[in-house]
Amino acid sequence: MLKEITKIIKLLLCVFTFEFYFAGFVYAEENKDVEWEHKNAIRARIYQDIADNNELEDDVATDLLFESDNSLWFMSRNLLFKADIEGRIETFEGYDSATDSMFRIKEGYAQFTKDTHTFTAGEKIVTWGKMDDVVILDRINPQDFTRFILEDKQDRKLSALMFKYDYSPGDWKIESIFKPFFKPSAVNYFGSDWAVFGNLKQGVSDGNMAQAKKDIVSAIAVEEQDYVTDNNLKNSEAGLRLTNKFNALDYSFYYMNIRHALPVLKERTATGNLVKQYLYDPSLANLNALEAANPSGDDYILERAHPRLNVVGADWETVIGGYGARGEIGMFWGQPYLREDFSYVEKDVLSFGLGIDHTTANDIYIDFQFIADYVMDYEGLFAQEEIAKQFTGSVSKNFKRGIINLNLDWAYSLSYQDLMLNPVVEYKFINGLSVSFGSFMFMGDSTTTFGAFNSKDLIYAEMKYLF
Amino acid sequence: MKNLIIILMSVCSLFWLPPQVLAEETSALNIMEKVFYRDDGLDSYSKVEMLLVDKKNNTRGRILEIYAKDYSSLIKTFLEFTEPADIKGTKFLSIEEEKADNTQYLYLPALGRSRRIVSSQKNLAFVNTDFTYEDMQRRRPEKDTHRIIADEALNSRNCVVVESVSNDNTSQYSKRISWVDKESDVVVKIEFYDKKGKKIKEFRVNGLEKKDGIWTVTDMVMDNEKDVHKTYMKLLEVRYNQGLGDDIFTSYSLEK
Repeated sequence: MLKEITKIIKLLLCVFTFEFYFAGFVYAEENKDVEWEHKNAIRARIYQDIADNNELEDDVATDLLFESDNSLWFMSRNLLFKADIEGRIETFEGYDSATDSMFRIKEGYAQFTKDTHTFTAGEKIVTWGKMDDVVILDRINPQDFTRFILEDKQDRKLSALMFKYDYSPGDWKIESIFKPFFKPSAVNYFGSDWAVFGNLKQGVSDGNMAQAKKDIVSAIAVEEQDYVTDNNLKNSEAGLRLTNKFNALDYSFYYMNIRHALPVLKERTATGNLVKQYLYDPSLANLNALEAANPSGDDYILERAHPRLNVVGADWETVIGGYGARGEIGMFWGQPYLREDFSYVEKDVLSFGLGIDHTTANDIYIDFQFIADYVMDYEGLFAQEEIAKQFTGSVSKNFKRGIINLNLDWAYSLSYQDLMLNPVVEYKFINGLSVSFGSFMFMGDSTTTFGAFNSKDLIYAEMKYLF
Repeated sequence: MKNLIIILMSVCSLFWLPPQVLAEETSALNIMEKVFYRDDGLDSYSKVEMLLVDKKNNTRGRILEIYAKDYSSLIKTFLEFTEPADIKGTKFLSIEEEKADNTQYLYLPALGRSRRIVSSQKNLAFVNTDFTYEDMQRRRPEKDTHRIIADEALNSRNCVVVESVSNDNTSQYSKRISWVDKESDVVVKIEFYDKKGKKIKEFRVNGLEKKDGIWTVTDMVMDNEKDVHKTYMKLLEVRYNQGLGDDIFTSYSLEK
């Protein structure tokens, strides 16, 4: 029943979006009380893999994206209808050729404001927390990791059905969110360059291993847990944020009762741990160990676990002299990990982040962040130290009054020595047209976040038109 | 009391700096105080077209909406770019307090949240215009020493020319010379000098008229002689004393 209701809501949102798009302008023109705001973007990217170290990877990929953001304001009624849509066509050339396309509602909701009260209902994206491009408290929306981090965090976010009530009588405000159903982050485990286990299955299938081994790898499957994907109110999530300021300090307190959006693989049987061991370290020795365990049935099935998390946190932001300073801290009860033997376990974790940004006298913007996670009651965990430390940041400078822009985003894990670099140069033409050239470089051990994609060093060209 | 274009106000306010020694200086201070405290409405809404022109005469246009409200010891200004698409949705909130550093927030759509920004770096350009962040703030007359240096007509307006020098080195400029229109108490021209005493920018009012009984700058330009670049601003619409609510002037409204 709930599934049907969700489908109907989504269908209505689709219809509404189209009506909005085609009739919005006319309606706004005819009604002076109505204002239609819209913004469209067409973005074409072409990626070239410059590290030819994995024959299964795509050499060239293209990504054509269309976005249309629309807001219809009924001024005298304090009513806003929002309908943002997104369409995408991707092609992949390399070991195989493939085409993929997608159309979705990026956001679609109604918002009503009465004095200091604001009510929102629909598919919405919310941004919480103060850190840039990293997640500590910004957990209301799931993210799309099917392209790993080729998109910025805000662009990776997936909208979620929610009801939001805000009370903002002045400098302070309360935001409360209720999400009736859980929506996990999008992650591919097999079958693409950006999948967690990449093209492992295809590599084995097309390789010269014994058929018995090929059969084992072929039988491995990752499944969503039914109770998670069911649109069941038992999967509902809630969040609360109180924001205020004290002198020059802005701060917020958080409470969230949510599910862990990013899945962690949970075994159905003890042999499933050998499956995970092979997937994360696909050596012949590990495959032999798995084969020796005579796997069958549920041994092959790994489940995407999204355990319930209780989160209490706070963030703050201020200005100290010529520097902007901000931070987040959160206590997470029940965060999922894998032990060193790859069995699934949940731990309580304290995470915090500190960020500083500054613009130099010659207008170079520098942003630097430090993030640390402390796993409580620590035992040996796979790819997770007791205290994990990471640095991220960006440096940017524009020339000719923003016509030419240079930017470098980077992230480095002190604990695991993996590194990501994303330098970009952009040239803005007049009238909303811009071209960019950039690169993504990933370095580190294959068990680390960035090192897992160390064979994917990319350069890319982008053309974007905003109108 | 607010005027239409914040920037205007700020630019104008730059020139409202007072003196301290002789009667002449007192008189100059009085002039700049009249400029600062002149009636520009309890609140205002304005829509402004901005045009950036480089030395090759390439132009880039922008439209912005400005809300401003006077709280006597506080002045709050909310600004939103509505065109073109590459800057649309960028919002800026400034809270100017009489005896404290200004509080400024910037909302960038790509970030998805507002950020408190450093207001002390006054020499940086505001969103690539010829206005700096200092130009975006109303400078209180008592922060400068003022001196009347001439009495002359400018574009058929009788003006007093006042030189203003910062008392406490808090300005990026060594001095400013302002032409104050005697009839309206509006600064209709300003020359900006860098720390070496070299003239680097000139602000000119090309249109000044009464709207709802309030003297309003309708057309102006900031001419950056150093960079050979100009920023034109033209008033498209203005409304005074509309009873603007307080809810616009919060960081929350930036993110709505």
